[in-house]
Amino acid sequence: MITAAVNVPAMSGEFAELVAEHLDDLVTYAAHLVGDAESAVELTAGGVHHAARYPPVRLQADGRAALYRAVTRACRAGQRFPPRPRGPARLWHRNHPPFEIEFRGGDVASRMNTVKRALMTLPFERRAALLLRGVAQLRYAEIARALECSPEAAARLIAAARREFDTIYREIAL
Amino acid sequence: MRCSLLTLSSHLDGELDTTRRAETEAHLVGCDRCRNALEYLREEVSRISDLARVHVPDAGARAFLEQLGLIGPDDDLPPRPPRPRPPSGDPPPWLAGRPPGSALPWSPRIEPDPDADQPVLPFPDEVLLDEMAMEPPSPPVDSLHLDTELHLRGRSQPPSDVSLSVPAAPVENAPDASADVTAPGAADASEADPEVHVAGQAFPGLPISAPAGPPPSLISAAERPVWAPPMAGGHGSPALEPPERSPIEAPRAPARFPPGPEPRASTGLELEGRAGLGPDARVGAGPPGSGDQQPSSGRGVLPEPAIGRAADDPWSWAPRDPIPGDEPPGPPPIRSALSGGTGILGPQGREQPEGPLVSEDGAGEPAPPDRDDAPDPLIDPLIARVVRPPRRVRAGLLARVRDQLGVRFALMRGAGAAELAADRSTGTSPPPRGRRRDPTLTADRQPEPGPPQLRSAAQPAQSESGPDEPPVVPGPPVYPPWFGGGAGGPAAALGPPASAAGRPGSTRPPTIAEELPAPLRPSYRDDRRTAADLGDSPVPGRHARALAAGGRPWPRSWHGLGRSLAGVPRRWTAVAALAVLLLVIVLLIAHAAGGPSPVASPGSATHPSGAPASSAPSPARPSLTPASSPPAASSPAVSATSAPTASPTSTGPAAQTYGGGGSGWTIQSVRCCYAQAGTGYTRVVFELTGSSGSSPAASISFPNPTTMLISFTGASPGAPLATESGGVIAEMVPPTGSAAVFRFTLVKAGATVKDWDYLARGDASTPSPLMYFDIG
Repeated sequence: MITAAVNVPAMSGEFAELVAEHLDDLVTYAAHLVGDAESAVELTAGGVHHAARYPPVRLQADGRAALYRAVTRACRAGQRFPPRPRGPARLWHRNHPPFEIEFRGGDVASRMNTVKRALMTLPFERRAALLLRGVAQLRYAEIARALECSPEAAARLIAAARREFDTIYREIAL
Repeated sequence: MRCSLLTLSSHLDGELDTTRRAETEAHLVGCDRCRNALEYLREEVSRISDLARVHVPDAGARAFLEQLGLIGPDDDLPPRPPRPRPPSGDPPPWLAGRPPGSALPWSPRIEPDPDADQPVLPFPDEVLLDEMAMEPPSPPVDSLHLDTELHLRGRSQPPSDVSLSVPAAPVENAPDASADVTAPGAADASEADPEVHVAGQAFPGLPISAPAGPPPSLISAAERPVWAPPMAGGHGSPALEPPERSPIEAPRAPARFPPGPEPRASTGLELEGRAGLGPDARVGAGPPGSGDQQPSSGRGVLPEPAIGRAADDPWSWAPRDPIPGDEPPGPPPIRSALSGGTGILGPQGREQPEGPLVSEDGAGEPAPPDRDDAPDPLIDPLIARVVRPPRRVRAGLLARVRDQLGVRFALMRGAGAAELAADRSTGTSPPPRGRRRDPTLTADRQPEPGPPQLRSAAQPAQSESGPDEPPVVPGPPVYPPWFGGGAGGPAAALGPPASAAGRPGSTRPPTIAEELPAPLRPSYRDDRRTAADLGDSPVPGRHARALAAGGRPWPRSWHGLGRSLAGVPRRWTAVAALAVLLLVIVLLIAHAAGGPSPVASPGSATHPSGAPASSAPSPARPSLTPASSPPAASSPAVSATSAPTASPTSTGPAAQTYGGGGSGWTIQSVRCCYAQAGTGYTRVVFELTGSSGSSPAASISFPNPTTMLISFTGASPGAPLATESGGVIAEMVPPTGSAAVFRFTLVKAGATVKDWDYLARGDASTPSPLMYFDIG
C-alpha cells in the first residue's frame, strides 16, 4: 500500500476562488502601495503564496483581510514570488525569472502624478491604511486585521493619514 | 460633541454607530468648520478612490493561480467578478460628486441603462446636441410642470448640479411662460419635474430653464446651446460642491440664488449655478421675453469632431488619475465670489467687472457676447480636458526633488508653528528635544500674514496650466479646516496655544489639529525606526525626523545597503570586491617576498668534487644568519668588522667576516659560479696556498643590494684570475691590485651568504686548502 502525502490544503479551492475574486484589487493595492505595477504582481504573488500556506481558519469571514494582510506584509518586507536572494547572497545568486502574468492598466497605475507623489511620501502604514480604505474599500475592522492593529488604531491611522496626505498634496499641487 | 477629525473621518466612512452618527450629523448642522472639513475629507477620498485600477484578465489570473499552485493546469478558473465597471454613477469631478438630484427636493428617476454591457465613459465623450429632444410637458407649461429632456449620450448618470436652460420646445404650448427652476426654494412653487436626458437617458432632477424659443431644430449651429460644467455649489445647498480637483479653494460659499419673482422666458441656453453669476446672468441669451435668437458667446460649445475620441481606447473608461498640469481648473466663481469678483474671466484672463453679464444700460439685457470663435480661457481647458486623453507624464528628477523639498519644508513649518504655539502659551517652554528651532518663528515675532504654502483664494487652482492661465489675483489665503478654518491670518489659523486647550479654565475646546498631534505609534516592528525615534520624539513624520537628524542616515541593514547599491549591477560589484581582495593578497605576498628570507639551514651540500664538506674541522663555524641578525659576538671566529673596501653607506646587509684570521695565504685560483645541488645556491670556491695556519679572514659586504665584495685579510691574489659568472652571480671581477678584493655583481637583490666553510685539506680535485661560500 502506498501512502502519498499531498501538501494541498483542504480549502485550496475556496482559497483560489477568494484570490480570483480579489486579484484585481490586490494587484491595484500593491501597485499603489509600492508605486510599481510590475513589482506589485510579484509582491502580490508573494503575499498570496504565504497566505495560501497559512490560510485563516474562517476563510469566508477573514479571507479578504487575510489576503490584504499578507500582501501588505509582502510589500513591507519585499517578499516576492519567486523569491529573490537577500543580503550578500544577492551578489552571486542569479535572480529568478520574474513572475510574469498579463495584466492591464499597469502603466496607468505606475504613472506618477500629483496624487501618487503625495501618496508615496506618506509613511508605509499610513499609505497602506489610506489605500485599504480608498482603493480596496475595506471596513475598519478588516483594515485593523490587515495592518495588525486594533480597529480604533486603524481609525486613527486613517484620520492621520488623510490629514498628512492633505498637507502634502497641497504642497505638491501648488 | 467636540470637533474631531477622527469623528469626521469615521463618519465619512460610515463607521460610526447610530448614536454617534446622529450626534455628528446634528453637530454638522451648526458647525461650519466641521462641514468644511468634511468636504475636504470627501475630496481626499475621491482623490484616492480615483486612482487607476489594474485589471488582470482571465488568462493572467489563471497563470497567476497556476504558478502559485492554487489550481491545476486542468482545473477551471474560479469564477471571478465581472470586469470592473467605471463608476458610472459618479459624474465627472467638475460636475460635483453627488448622486443626481440629491440637492433637489424631488427624488430622481433613474432609467435603466440601455447600454449596460458596454463600457461607459466616465465623462460625456460625445454630446449630440442634435439629438436634444424636447418632449412636450405633460402638464401645462403655465404651471411650470415641464418635462423637458436633454439627451446626451455616453453617460448613465446625470450631473446633479447641471443647470441647463434649453430652448423650450413646446413654445407653442407655453408661449407666456418658461421654466427657470434655479433653486430648491424656488422650485417648490414650480412643481417642475424636468429631466435632462443624456444619450437617451433621463436625468431627472436637473433644473431646467426652458424659456420660450423655437425648437432646437430651428436653432442654427452658432446658436446651439452651450454646454459648460457648473462652477459652483449653487442652489444654496451644501451638497452641491465645486469641482473636486481644486486642492485649494475657498470654503464653500453657498451661492445665493434669490428666488426669481416670476419665471421669465428667455431665448437660447442659459447657464446657471455659477457663483458670482447672478440669476440674471445669461450667456448668449437674449433679452427676456424678446424671443430673439442671440448667438451664444461660444463658451462651452463642444467641438464635435474631437468628441468621442476616447471611445477607441478600451481602457478609456478607467478612472483617470489627475495629471499635474492637466487637471481641470478650479471653480473661479467660488474664488471670485470671495474676492468680490464676478468669476467670469475675460479673454485676457482678467475678471470682468462685478455684476451680471448685462449691458451697460442694465434692464437685464445681456452684454453683447464676444466673438463666437474667440476662445474662452475658462471653458476651453475644460473642453480640452473632456475631449483629450490624458497625457503620459512622468515625474522627472527635478520634480521629485522639488516635491521632496516641498514636503520637508512644509513639515518644518508645521513643526515650527506648533512650537510657536507652545511658546506663546507658556513663554518658557524650551524647544523640544532633538528638533531645531525655526529662527523665523519666535515667540516675540509676529508671523507673516500667511503661510506661504497656502495660496490665495483667487489664485488659480493649477499653477501648471501653462501660459494661458489667468493672472493671479491676490486674495485672502484659504486655510485647511484644521488650521482653524476661514480665511483669517495665521493667528486665526494657529488659534490659541495648543497647551491652553483642555486646561482648567480654558474656554476654548481643543482644535482638530490638537486632537491628532503626534504620529501614531505602530504596533508592528519597523526596523527603520528605533526606540528613541518612537519614544517621545516631538517631530511628526519620518521626513522631519530625518531632517532634524541632519540628513539621511547610513543604511543600518543589508537591506538599506542593498538599496544604495541598487543601481550597480551585482555581478560587477562582486567582481570589484574580488579584485580588491586579490590586489591586497598580491601586495602582501610581494611584500613578504621582497624581505630577507628566513634562516637557511646549513644543509648537507657537497662539494662538486665529491669530497666531504666537513673533511676538516672548521675552526669557527658560526651559525649562518641573514644580515639582519648577525652572528653572536661570542663567536671568536666571526667579528662584525667592516670590510676594507666596503662603503660605510652601503645599503645592503651589514658586513660579515668569516675565517680564522690567518695570514700568509695566496689565492691560487677561484672556482666560481656553479649551482649547488639540492639547495640551488651558487658556490664560490677559493683555492689557497702558501700557509698552513688558520684560514684567512674574509669580509663580505654589500655596497648595494646587487653588489657583493669579498675582501681577504691575510691573503693576496696570486695569478691573474679570469672574470666569471653563473648562478646568481652575474659577474665576478677579480682583484687587480695587491688587495684581494673580489667584486661580485648579483642578478637579484637581497642575495646573502647562506653557507661557507674552510677545508684545510682540500677536496678530491685539489689537496690545497679551500674556502668556499654559498650565495643565495
